[in-house]
Amino acid sequence: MNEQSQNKPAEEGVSRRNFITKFWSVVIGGIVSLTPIVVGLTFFLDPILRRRKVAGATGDAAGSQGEGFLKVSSEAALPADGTPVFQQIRKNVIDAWNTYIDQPVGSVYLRKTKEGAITAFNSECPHLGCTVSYQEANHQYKCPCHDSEFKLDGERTNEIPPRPMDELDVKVDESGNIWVKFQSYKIGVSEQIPKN
Amino acid sequence: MKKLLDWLDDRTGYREVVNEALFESIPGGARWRYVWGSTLVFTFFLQVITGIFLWTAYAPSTQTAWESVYYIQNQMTLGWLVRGIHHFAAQAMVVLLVIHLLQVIIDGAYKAPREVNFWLGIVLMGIVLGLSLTGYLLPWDQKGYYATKVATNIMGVTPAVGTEVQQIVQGGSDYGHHTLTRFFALHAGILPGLLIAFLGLHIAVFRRHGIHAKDPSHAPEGMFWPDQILKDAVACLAVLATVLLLSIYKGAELSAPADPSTPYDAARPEWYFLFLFRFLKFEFIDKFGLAFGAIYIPGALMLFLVLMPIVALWRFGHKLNVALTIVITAGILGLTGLAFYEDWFSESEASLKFRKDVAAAHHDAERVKELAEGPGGIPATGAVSLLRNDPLTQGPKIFSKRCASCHRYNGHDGTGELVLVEGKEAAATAADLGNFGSRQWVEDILVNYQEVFAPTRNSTKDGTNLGEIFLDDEYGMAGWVKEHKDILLMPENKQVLAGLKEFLVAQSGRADFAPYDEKLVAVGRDVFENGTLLKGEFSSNCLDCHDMKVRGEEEALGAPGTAPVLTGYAGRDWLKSFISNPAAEEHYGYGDKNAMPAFADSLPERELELLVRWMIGDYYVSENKHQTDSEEAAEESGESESGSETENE
Repeated sequence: MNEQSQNKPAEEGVSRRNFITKFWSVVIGGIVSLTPIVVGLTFFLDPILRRRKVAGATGDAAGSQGEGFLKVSSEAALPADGTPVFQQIRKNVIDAWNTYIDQPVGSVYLRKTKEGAITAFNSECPHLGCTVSYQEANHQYKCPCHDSEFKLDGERTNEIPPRPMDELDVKVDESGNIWVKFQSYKIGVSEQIPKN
Repeated sequence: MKKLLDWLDDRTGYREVVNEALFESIPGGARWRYVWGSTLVFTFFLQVITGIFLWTAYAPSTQTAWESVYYIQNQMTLGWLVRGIHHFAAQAMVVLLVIHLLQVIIDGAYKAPREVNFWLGIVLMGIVLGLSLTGYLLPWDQKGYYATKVATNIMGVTPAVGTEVQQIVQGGSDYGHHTLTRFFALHAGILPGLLIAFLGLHIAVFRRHGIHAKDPSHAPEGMFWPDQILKDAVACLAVLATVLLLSIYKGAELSAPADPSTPYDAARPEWYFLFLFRFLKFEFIDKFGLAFGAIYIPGALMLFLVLMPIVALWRFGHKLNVALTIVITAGILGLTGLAFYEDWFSESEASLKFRKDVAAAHHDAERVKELAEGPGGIPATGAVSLLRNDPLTQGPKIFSKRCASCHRYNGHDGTGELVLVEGKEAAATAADLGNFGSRQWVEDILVNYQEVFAPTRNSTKDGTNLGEIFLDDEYGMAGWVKEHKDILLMPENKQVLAGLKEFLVAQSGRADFAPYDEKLVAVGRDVFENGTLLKGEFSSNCLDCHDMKVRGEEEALGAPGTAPVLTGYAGRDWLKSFISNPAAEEHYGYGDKNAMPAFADSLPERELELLVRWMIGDYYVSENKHQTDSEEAAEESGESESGSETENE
């Protein structure tokens, strides 16, 4: 610019006009190129910009009882000696545009304690999300992937998992049906953070 | 910074490339008339950007294509806008391409030494049209499906190789998953790749010969950067603004999901192919065979374009080219205009039908959206089953086909059409079922029997006028109504009539008429069983002729009489049984009044179910729509509403 400003006034006018032309070229060119890109990127960020519909608010699978409780089993089906029972959880699933009726979405371990209380643990290992299995021999839950181990009350017995197993809300109705509020939590962190 | 750029230039030589790209001289200065090529590049840029983002959400298969586009359009953040831009920029591209081509021809820019570039341009045009054709099918909606079928069927009549070409393009002998995967690969991979390659050549050759200056003495020499670029940018802004406005105010259409079993009478190609569509409609063209109009003529036009630079070598060649171009353009514009006029403005029978078909198509598109947003969502089998299994969509069609030759539905055939015979409205020969089973219907049976069944006078049964059998029968319902209607209509018996209506309608168990007023039902039951009136007296009670099991009870109220059994009257099971065999003992088996054929054998169970569910209002209607509908209904029936209020007191 310094070199140019030392030129004759006539050329200064040309260069000034030239600058304005360049300025507007860049501005308008920027607008027309960025508009589709910004619109497209917003669209691409849809998964974090929009709350998705989740099945279960209303019209859930057979056996829902409001507040997300699902009927999963009955008290009579649980052994009195405190052995946990593996139970699949089914509900309606919405995947983008599709609604699938009564699909398996996960599993829980149900158990009747000696005091008669019913507990439910999400069978998903909080370490990296594999399904833990119950070891009859030492009365422990063990993850087949990285050997996370948990006691029957869900507490860790080694330091591999970042937190105890995720305990779920349980209700028992008058007829002895067991209702579980099924919930998955973020994997790999020490706090319990609900998914969706 | 400068050092870094120096280093980059040393390693890549980028400055030379940039200089070459930007500092192209323009004899006669920058001009608005040179913007068309740049706007075309810009629309292609728009298509690539929006296309890639759409790609992230599109799923090409017959069960997911429409569904994913529906999801993009109606659920995803700004999905409607991304799709709108892609949809309208595609059309802008065709318009700009035609302008660009006409300018090149009229200005003579195709002549030596620019022949090769002209041919490259024609190749580009072919690719763009290919992109448009393949893109039209991808949403897998009725509109794209049926329009594209025409195009692939035209391919099929290509001499010698037609059948094979068609099968290769379709991925089989008919449309299916592979039609979509192939069209998608063409649309998003092969054709854009070819376009980029040929566009590169086109621009490189363009730069080799420089711009074809219309008038080099117009102004002092200008530069591409920034003089022409500013004008180009402004033109692109105008294109973008147009595309955005169209996306916002018009929006990209998505008709109902493609259904090979449901004809789509509103099928049209994209508007810029309308001239060809209209051309093929001429009978004298058709005489020469489909291949003549659909392949040879367009082929000849393309050949004419290709030969232009060679024709121009002749003394009057350029003038001939221009003259022919003008004639052909005028022809294309004329045919396009004619097609538009015939579809949207003409009052001819075909035009009126087309507009009705378009309205019906919009109706289906709205309905499937309503169902997709409903509690059931879209099943894994795809959205096409939503409409196929929807009583509200299928019921009226079945009614018009199977019932409307005798019955009417609020005066029409169920679908909103008058029933015509040889162009004139035909007289009904059976009851109008528009409000069948409602409180009004029951009231009409009880006090306006003659009116409800008046159409039977237009019919005969075994040589006797059916009206005589039906309406002049002193011992049947007609006689009973004649005798008792005045009693039922006495102000003192208002509660009696209301109760009888409520009791009988409650037998249907229809959810759309609930809630039922229990007190009124009890009053009605008393009237039905015992003939309890507040004033006057029945000479014969309902139970003397009819018997029924009250809904929810096991024991019948009366013994089988001489009149139809009213168990579950006008409900789902009753209606199905009645339609299957109206002459059965429990219906009209006791008299000779039945003239209705039994549909048990001719109406498939699936259709019977859909018809009945439509007639009894058993289908999903969204909450919003339900409200507006019932508000309208409440306004219409305001009088009777206030009447029933006083009854309840």
